[in-house]
Amino acid sequence: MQVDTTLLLSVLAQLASPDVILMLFVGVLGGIFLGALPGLSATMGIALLIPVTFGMQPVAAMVLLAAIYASAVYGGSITAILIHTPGTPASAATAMDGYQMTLRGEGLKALGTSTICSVIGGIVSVVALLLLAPPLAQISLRFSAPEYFLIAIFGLTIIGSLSSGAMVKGLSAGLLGLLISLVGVDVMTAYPRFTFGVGELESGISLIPAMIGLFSISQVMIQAEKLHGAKDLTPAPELVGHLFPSRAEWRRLRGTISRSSIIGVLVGCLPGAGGDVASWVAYNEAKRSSKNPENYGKGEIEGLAAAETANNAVTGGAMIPLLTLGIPGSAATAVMLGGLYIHGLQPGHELFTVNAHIVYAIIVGLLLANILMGIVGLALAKQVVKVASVPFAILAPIIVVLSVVGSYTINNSMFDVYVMVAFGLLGYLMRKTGFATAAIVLAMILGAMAEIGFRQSLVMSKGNLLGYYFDRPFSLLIMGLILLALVSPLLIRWKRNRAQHALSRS
Amino acid sequence: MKALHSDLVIGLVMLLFSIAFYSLSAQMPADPAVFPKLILVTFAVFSLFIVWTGIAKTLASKKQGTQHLAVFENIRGPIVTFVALCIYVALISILGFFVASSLTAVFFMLYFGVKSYLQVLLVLVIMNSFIYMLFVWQLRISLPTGLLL
Repeated sequence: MQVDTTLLLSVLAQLASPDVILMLFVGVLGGIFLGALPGLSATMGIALLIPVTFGMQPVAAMVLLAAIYASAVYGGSITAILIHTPGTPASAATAMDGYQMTLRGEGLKALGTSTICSVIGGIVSVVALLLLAPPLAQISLRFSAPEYFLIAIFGLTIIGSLSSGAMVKGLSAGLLGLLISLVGVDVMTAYPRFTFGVGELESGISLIPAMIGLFSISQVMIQAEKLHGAKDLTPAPELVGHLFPSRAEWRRLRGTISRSSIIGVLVGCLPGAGGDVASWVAYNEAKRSSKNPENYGKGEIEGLAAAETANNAVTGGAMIPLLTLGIPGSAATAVMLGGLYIHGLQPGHELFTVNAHIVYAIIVGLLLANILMGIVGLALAKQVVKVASVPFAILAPIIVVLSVVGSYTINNSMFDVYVMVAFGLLGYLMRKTGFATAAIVLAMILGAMAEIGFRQSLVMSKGNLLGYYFDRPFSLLIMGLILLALVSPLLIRWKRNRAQHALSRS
Repeated sequence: MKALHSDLVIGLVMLLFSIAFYSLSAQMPADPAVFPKLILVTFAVFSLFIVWTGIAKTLASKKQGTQHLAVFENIRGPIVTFVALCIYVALISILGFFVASSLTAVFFMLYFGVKSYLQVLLVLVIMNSFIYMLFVWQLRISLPTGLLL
């Protein structure tokens, strides 16, 4: 690979600016604490912080969001290991063996292993992102209206079908998001659609207030259900012993770390499957290939390493479809896509050519964030656990007030605050009834692309829409992928049921 | 309501929504109406599917004698949160952002069980200073003012 010196220098110069360095630190620290606090998520943090990034340069803003994303996954593991409270779903597998190690008096070693594995997983995923994203972005050059329509549908299909258990509900949430994206003046005919005479609706429903409502307010409402009966967190045990595993243990871990890194990157690339899926897949694979599978769940360091490497390897992997095709791999990256658009960055070929100096700075920034995350994590793990015991009763009002001020900031408009409130209620109702809120956000982002692609291809097809679509190789390929996205969850469920049936018979 | 599974209720709401919005789309000129109609028809098909599964689930759990809207059991906390949020937003235009935010924060902390007044005071000071420094000083946003501030 030929390295463009001018580009490299420009990337380094941007990363060396005080703004970016500050955001890197804020993102890593904030992400670790956010991840460690049960009930708060990276998605919510990113949604709340996007308005704050308005006045920043795109690189500083995106580095902040990417650093929060990567560090929150790791932060969730600290509380999973020390107090058996996974801060994020991605750390549930970590809690299995990590907490057992803590009980055995090896909490410090579990933390050290988790930190190093998270850093390795994160770095491998960023390298994969650096190597795979540019050639993949080239593909988008061959896209025309039909492909853009299909890509939007593909993104919705995948996130709808994988992010929640019920596929039809996930897809319905996507359709609802598409409908919401239609509100406002039609870009092709200037006809106002679903505006009901409300002037503010003519420019459409703002994405950021909608995201803040869907992810932050709904989360406060969900937490409010259990606040009265909330138990105090288990106190963190005294941390003693070695921080790092022995040389013999490292030798044993090498295979697991390599395999789990690859699993994490691949699962991350799959839109819709996030860190939780990756950590469980890697954990199961490590257990399957282990000589002592019976030790898993009882404090097996390999199990901890597998889960930790994989959940952080997802972060860079999930950025591959995000930056190349505009399809996010998870709820957190769906919100980051909103951040990209707000800073005028369009995923695809142009991002890697015209805006190469920005996108490579973001990617290298993510690499630095992973390294910094390891250093900060090792230094501050004990303090992180203390912060994790801040009660939600104190966090809830802060989140509510920040949600209001964040939504207002977008256009200096109270109307956006009303939108945020409405979406908060919608998000709560959706989450309680099994609909994927991330699908709505993604559809709101992809809605315009889907509609313009569809209507342009209607014109271009000259009346023979199906023939036109089936005549284009890339359209056929994406249609195949859509079909696969629809059928694969059913196949996976069928295979799992068959395996369970076979197990119960034996 | 308790006799019905939540999926059945949601499916019916979705169906009504798609019918209402389809009739709105039917009043639009042909070109801008194409895409909304396409989405709404698909949405209606999905809602019928959810109604159907809702009926199946209602019948199945009737046999077992279980409750169906159990997902909304502990609803008091969320309702109070939402109503307080609505009052807060309404108060912003009357009292101004900082006063309304402080009142809401105090209400939430007391409602959710914070007992120490020192903690309440600390949160108020830190929260308001952070917002003032970041949004008013740094980002130069003019937050809504009311009768008081």
